[in-house]
Amino acid sequence: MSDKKLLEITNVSKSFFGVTVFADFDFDVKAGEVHCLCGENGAGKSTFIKILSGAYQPDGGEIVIDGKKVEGKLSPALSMNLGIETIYQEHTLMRNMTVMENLFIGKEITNGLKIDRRKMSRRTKEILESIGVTNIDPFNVVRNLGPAQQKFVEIAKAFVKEAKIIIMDEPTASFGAHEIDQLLNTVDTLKKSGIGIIYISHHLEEVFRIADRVTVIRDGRKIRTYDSAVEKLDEAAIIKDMVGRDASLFYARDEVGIGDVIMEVKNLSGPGVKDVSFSLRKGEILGFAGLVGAGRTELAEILFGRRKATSGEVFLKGKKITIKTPKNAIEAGMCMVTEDRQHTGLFINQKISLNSIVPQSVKAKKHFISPKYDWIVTKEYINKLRIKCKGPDQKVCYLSGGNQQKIAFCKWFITDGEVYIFDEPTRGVDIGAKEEIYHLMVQLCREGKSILMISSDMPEVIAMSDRVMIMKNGGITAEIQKEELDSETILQYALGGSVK
Amino acid sequence: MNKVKNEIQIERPPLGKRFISSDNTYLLFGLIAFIFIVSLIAPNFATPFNFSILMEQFAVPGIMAIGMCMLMISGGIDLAVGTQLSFISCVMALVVKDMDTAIPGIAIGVAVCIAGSFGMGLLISRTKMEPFIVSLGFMAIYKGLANITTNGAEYPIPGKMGFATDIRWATLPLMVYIMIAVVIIFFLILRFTRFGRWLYAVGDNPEAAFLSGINVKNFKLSMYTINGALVALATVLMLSRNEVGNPNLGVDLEMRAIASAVVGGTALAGGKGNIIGTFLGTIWMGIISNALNIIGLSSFFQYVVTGCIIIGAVLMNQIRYKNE
Repeated sequence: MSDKKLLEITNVSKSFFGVTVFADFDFDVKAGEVHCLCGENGAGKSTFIKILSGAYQPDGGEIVIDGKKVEGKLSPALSMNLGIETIYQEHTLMRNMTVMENLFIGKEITNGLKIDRRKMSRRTKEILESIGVTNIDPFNVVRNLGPAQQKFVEIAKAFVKEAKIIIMDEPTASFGAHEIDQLLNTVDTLKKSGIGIIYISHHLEEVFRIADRVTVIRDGRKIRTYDSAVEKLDEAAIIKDMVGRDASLFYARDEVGIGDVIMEVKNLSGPGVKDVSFSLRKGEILGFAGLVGAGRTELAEILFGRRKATSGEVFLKGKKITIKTPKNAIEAGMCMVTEDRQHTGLFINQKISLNSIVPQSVKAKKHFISPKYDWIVTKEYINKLRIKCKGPDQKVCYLSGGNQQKIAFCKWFITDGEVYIFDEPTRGVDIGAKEEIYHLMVQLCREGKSILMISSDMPEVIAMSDRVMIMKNGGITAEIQKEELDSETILQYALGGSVK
Repeated sequence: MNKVKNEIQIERPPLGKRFISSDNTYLLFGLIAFIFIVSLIAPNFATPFNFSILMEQFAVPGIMAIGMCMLMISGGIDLAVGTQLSFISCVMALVVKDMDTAIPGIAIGVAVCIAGSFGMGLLISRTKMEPFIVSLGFMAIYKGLANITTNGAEYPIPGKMGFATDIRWATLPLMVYIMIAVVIIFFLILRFTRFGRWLYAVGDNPEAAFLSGINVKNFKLSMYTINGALVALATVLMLSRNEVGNPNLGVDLEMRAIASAVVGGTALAGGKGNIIGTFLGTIWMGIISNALNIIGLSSFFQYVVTGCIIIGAVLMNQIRYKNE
């Protein structure tokens, strides 16, 4: 590692509509260094990446890349020209092109007239080998590669572009243990060739293995930078820095009496979920915490019939139920507000009234419905849920995020079930609407319904849950009672979590 | 938490107001204006005789447009309906000619027609193939089958199944009443049943529809099957009117059905459209070619004008949605 600074950021801040998401941030990367960035979901890591890659313009501050101060706007094209390459969490390769075509996109090797495929494939092999990958055929089409192999091709691509700084955002999501090893070795190779690496990961064990320095970010602010050359990296200290939070952010909910067990899940397994067992009581909010990709959404989808369980049993009110499709689940008394309301929750171009009536018509087997009935029922719930709109005939796409989310709730309230699954119930919702949604959830519990709440929002999990299950790698690693709930415990199990 | 009630105090608008604010007003008033203008230019246009002929001409395309509209709302399409009608007309005519009575021929034709659409529905709903491509394939298959059954010849069946034009009330033939009945029935289905609601739901977002408990696969299958039944009905009326089974009987009908639906405000992308609009669209398409005929424009010009009108209608829809 040299002392040459490839990137230096001072005092950068960014706010959206008056809300500061990123403030007075200092950060630097030296040549041949791995600098890890750690923080909870929503701490500002993505904003950081977007500022560096030119997608967002910072409101203030200074960015110096390779000794040159960035004057004016940092556009995505400029950012790439200056040698910053970002490897995003999701795959960005052209799926239907070969590995070598992807590597040399826009930089094809030609022999005057046409593309020299032989030379290109030789170069591809060399580059892949130089980053320690030997099992990828340059002529293979990208869509045939596994997620890990695709990640390596992306890294190789950054290498072809002669990147000076490579940003890796959660590169090991969906990786196996062996692939993680391989990736960390690759990072090491890149580092030795003098490239500066910004490594973003939830997985602290990876961070400890490769980091030269670790910076903790929380609520858009830099908390502290640890230097592994100076001190030994301490997991507990880092976790504490990640979660330390103002208590005023917590919502104070009313207590609701909890009754008997209503749902019991025994040894449920399926795609992304391994041997999960838990029980849910009447009037209870059972939180599911864990990292993104821990299998929480998958569990919900298996329970609701979107994915097929491979083994295990589900009992509802003491009766064993078999769920093959969402229809079965709804008929059994379950409701699910999905994580992505735009793509899986709402009929965005339709009227509010149509959105709110569909699941009920399935459950109640109501073959004939008059439009007047739609209208009246929807109006009643618009008032109950305090949805801000012009009326039941308004199209959902014209509502704000929070009100759209309330429509997604509304359709299940009208359907009336026993168990409600909420996957990220307040994602993309402003503070005011958030509180109203919490209020509605408590209301549901008071009516004797039970709630399974998946949430990556730590204050939400702590404030709302009566009990929390923590998931990691598709299994449950811990069950925490309300009295023992705090962010550090949750994060500990979610990150490390070998103890049950 | 403070419990301030900010209830919305609105009433459901009355029927008249709801109609005026719907997209169909433009179509209806435009139509009235168009009829008025043409009748000034051509005095023999707005006569009871011409109108009764017109309505007879609407019947077959009208029924097919209703089926097409339904498919398009749900995000599907069926390009095969024209050649399917040709093929089924050949099958019916062949059997009718052979057995010398109408009933078995109609029965066999209807059965074959529904079976064909059921098969197509199975392919579309059970695989991820695009309805556009699958039905394009079926379009060619039916065309071939029609020529195979008849060896490319015509099968005239004079006087065997003329009931739909022979039976008349108030100068209008039975087929006109059948079409009106189909329009009313489908209007009611889309408005007053959950099937109608699901149509829009599936067309707007099939994944959300599935997660709302709709069996999307079976739903699509049933829609294509219903469309098959409508095509069968249209074939019977067509045969009754033309009295000849012919491998070219249904030429261009699929385009006309799609155009009628689109003029009526149905979107190819799904989730948008309605029966009344489609019916008005059918009338528009029929009246334009009739008016151009009466004015004395050659049929070649009619294609150009019709094409312009379709594009103009879609453009107008887009402008309106943007203003929304």
